[in-house]
Amino acid sequence: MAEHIELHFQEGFSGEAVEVRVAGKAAAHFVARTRVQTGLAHIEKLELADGTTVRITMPATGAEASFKVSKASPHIAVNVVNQKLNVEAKKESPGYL
Amino acid sequence: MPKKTGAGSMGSDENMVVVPDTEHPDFVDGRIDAQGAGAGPMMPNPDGPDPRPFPFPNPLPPPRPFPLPFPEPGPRPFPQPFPFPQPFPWQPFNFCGPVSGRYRYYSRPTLAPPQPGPLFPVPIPGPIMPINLIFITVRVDVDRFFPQNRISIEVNRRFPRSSAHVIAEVTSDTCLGLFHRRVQATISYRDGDATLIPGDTVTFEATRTTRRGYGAYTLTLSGPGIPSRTYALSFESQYFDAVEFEVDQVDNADVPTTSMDSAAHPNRPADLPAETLSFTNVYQRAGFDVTTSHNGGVIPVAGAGANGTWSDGEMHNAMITHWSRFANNPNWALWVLFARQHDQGRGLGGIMFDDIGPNHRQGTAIFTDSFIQDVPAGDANPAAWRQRMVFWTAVHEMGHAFNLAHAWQKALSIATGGPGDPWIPLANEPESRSFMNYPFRVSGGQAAFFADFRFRFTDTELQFMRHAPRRFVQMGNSNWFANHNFEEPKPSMQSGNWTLAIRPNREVNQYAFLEPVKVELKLTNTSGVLQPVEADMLQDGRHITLLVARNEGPARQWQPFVTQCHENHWDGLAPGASIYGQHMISATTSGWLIDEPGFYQIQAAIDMGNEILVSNVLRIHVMPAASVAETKLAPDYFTEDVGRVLAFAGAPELGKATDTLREVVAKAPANPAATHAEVALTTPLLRDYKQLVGGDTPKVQATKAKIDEARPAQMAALVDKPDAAAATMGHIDYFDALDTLATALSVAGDDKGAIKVLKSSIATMKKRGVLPSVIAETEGKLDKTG
Repeated sequence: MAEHIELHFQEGFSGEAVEVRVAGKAAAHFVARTRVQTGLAHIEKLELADGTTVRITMPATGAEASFKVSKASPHIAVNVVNQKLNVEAKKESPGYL
Repeated sequence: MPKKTGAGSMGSDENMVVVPDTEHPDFVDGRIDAQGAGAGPMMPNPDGPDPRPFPFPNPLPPPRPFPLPFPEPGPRPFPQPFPFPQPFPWQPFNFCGPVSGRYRYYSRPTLAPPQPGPLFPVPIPGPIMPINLIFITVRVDVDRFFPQNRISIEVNRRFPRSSAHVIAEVTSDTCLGLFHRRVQATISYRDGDATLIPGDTVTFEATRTTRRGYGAYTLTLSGPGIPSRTYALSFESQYFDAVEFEVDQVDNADVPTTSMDSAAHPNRPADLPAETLSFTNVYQRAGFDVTTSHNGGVIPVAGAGANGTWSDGEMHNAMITHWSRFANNPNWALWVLFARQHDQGRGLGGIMFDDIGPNHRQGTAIFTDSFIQDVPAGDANPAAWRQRMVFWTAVHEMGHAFNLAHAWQKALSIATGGPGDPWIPLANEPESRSFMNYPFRVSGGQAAFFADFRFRFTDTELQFMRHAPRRFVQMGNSNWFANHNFEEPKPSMQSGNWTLAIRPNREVNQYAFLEPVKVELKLTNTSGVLQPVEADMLQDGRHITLLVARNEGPARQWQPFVTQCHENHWDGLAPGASIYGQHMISATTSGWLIDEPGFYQIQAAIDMGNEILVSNVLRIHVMPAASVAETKLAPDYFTEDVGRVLAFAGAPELGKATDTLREVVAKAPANPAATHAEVALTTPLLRDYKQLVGGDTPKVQATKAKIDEARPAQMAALVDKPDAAAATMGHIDYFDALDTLATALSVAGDDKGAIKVLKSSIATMKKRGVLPSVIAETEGKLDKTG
């Protein structure tokens, strides 16, 4: 059964192309730029099965990260920290102010 | 747009219970030092409450958080009761009331001194303005709420125009006698013309006069090797600046939360006074003289867009429509909108949405149907939690309008991917208990945050709000997240594949008063390989961000009068090849950007997809009016309609603007603006011109071309003085105009006239070094016409 997954691309994005691949296939492709008022760059919503491996890459910098979908923590916060992608799964949807 | 109702009902501070300043644990009263000078009766401070009881011998003042002797090591816990009362015998002390606030110095017009010279009668000299007319604003910050131990000084000189700003860190603060206080500080930050504020030491002194309390204030600037300068100051306010808030509510949103009871929720600092906290007293304690507009009201939801949620653009439009103070210029005023929900959904609790257009940070929104209403499970007082969170969010978003970044973004800079640099090097404050930190981001989450939150901004935030150059802070001034208007190209940000140049088609960057400024943009492939580029990158204004600033003042963004919506069409651009575009940048959709004599800086940027390409800064000079006629024409000329007529090379339906351009041709024929006016007046006559007529039942009606009427005027404007016309119109527009004229003449059967125009065009192109490919194209047209 597919789970509703939200990828929240948050801090550290400055206009780079981001690619999201699921099971080796491109699932999303977009340019992310953090809006500093809110600390949010982009939200990507996907319907994926529990346990699916998702891979996020930024071709321009070579940064990449992978995670497995968990229906217990369907909100994925993605941040660029020291030029690396930091992925954190959360139970609650992040809020922005 | 439906009008808002209930003006005056929003943001009322009535029925508030507020702890008096002098009884608040976060308030630092005046200063008491061991006596070393004469004493006298203690008098009230200049902007403070009524005179307090004379402190000697009894009753003694109640314990108050007077500061410890300066300087103090490390952070200072609050409150710190001063060691009163003391047992007799008295140890003599000096008492000084608080001095924090804003002071001014104005140099006054003076009579010219008697002139040696002829004995015969001469006119009696009237008041003259000293050539170095200066205005000084001093902000002293050593007591009252959350003192930062800073003195900042702004100097503005009118002739020649110049300005400077410094911030000095306090090194000593002494009460020398009764209401005689001296504060000394060392300059640690400079902005602007350093010669206006020489030296490195600042001394502020407040003394008692025959009046009660302080009556005289001086500022002395000194330093090694320079003569000291002392200025007599006038006290203006205990606040550092004044600001106005206007609160509006969309009628399907909750009633605005503009205040809260600090004691309503049990999770709070134990010594936090029980009182009503409001936008007013929170920002007063941050140093601002807050007024709440009585024009706040309820906006009918009918104006909120069809989908019921709000986009940033819709909120910006609502701000323009409903905010009584809206103006496209810097202003100490802010619009606060309480709406139901943003397009982004419940996940967005509020936003400073206004990074749109040339004047940022004027509007904020709080969303009452969002996650800020979601009380944690098991909370002891859900209603109080909710009210506190909405109030906190509103103050937070308003903080963004003061250009405050989030606590964890303070170090973010352009070099690290941010849209702006911090005004001074700053460290992130991820654990700070500030309005600018998310409560749920700190260790321990929101419960830990509010347990230790005193409803204040941090010291670095207060230093910015109170003492940074005011353009960084003032709403509508510096762009959001940036403390400067122009960025020099950052080599590290550029790929090296492209260069973007901005230039005029003239030898000297000088323009006549009224003359429209046209600039040419040139994008060159410097990569060494064929590069794809959108063909109209420089022709269609939608691709271009262009800023204009007068005399290094705030930058305003140029917006083209027309942009095109079409599919992208990419061409290959060979190594070393360039594409060009030309734009009239004097006027924009919000009025004229270049309408006064003086120096202007112009800079452009384009988004190449994978990089932002920034041009050189073009500096131009606009001369004063050359005649009384030009001065008289100015009010009618510098209007949006005239800008449109010039930008579109004619718009007959804009009758008043067209009449104004006729006056320019008649009354200022020597001004280059007359060439632009003549072209705009007569170009529509070169073709059958379609107009929409008929009011409620409009129809298209074509007016027949009037070649015979247009020909002499166009020939005089474009052909008789080709160099002057090419210089003022710019190459692209000028040669396009000649091509249009030649085509029209040819169609009308005047091949002889067309040939004359094309020959003139080719000769002028060759003389002015136009690209051979462009000349060849015109030569081809000449061959066909001949």
